[in-house]
Amino acid sequence: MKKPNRSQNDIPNLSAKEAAILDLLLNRPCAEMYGLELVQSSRNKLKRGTVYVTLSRMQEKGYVESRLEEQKTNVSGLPRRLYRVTGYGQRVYEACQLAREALRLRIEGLGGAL
Amino acid sequence: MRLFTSYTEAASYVKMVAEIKEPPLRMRDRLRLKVLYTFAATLLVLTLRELVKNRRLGISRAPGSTLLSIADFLFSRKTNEEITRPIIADMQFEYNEALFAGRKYKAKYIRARGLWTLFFGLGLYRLLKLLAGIFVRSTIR
Repeated sequence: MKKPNRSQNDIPNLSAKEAAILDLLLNRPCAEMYGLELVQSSRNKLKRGTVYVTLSRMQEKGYVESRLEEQKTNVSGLPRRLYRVTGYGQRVYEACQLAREALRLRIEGLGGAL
Repeated sequence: MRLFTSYTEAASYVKMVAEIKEPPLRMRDRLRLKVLYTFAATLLVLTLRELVKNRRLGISRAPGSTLLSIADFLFSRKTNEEITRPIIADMQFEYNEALFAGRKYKAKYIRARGLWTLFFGLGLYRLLKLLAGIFVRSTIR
């Protein structure tokens, strides 16, 4: 697997689409999902045209990794790609969730104070 | 040995042969003939149907194969592996599913949508949008 290019000082960032993909991949019984499955189970959060661009960017960042499915003998067509979350991706997702929760509590606290 | 003594005799013999009519077919022979005709017609129809069927089942290119070859030529290997090929693979998967379910028009729709998805996925949509924006700005001024 290609090593993601990130340095020690890089703060991981997570867009809404990336968070949605990680959420879908982490909250599923099966660890791996196809891009089409992600689109179908995202309830219009993800589009067919952009999901692979986002997944490609996430692969570069090291949040997800992919592999080609094993081609069956009686099935025609190109082999599809399966995606799964890496350990780093899971940690980033959890950190972002914690940060979002902390921010929400802080804002609610400020709202109460005002 | 001579068959005819004169030309007149020969001519009368030919005339007699020409006037001979075939006896009418018996009921059993007519039935046999009808069965034979029916069998031949059925065979012909079945052969024609098989020919048409074979033509339908003939080897044809998978949907997206032309797009794939164009994309292989235009874009980098990384882009093709991570964006183009998965989009085409998804399209082929959905297309095959629709055909398997006998939904011919849905298969056609999936093919058209696959083209659009690929177009969108590769950012050409944005490029066109940018060009359209430039065109609009230039015409307003």
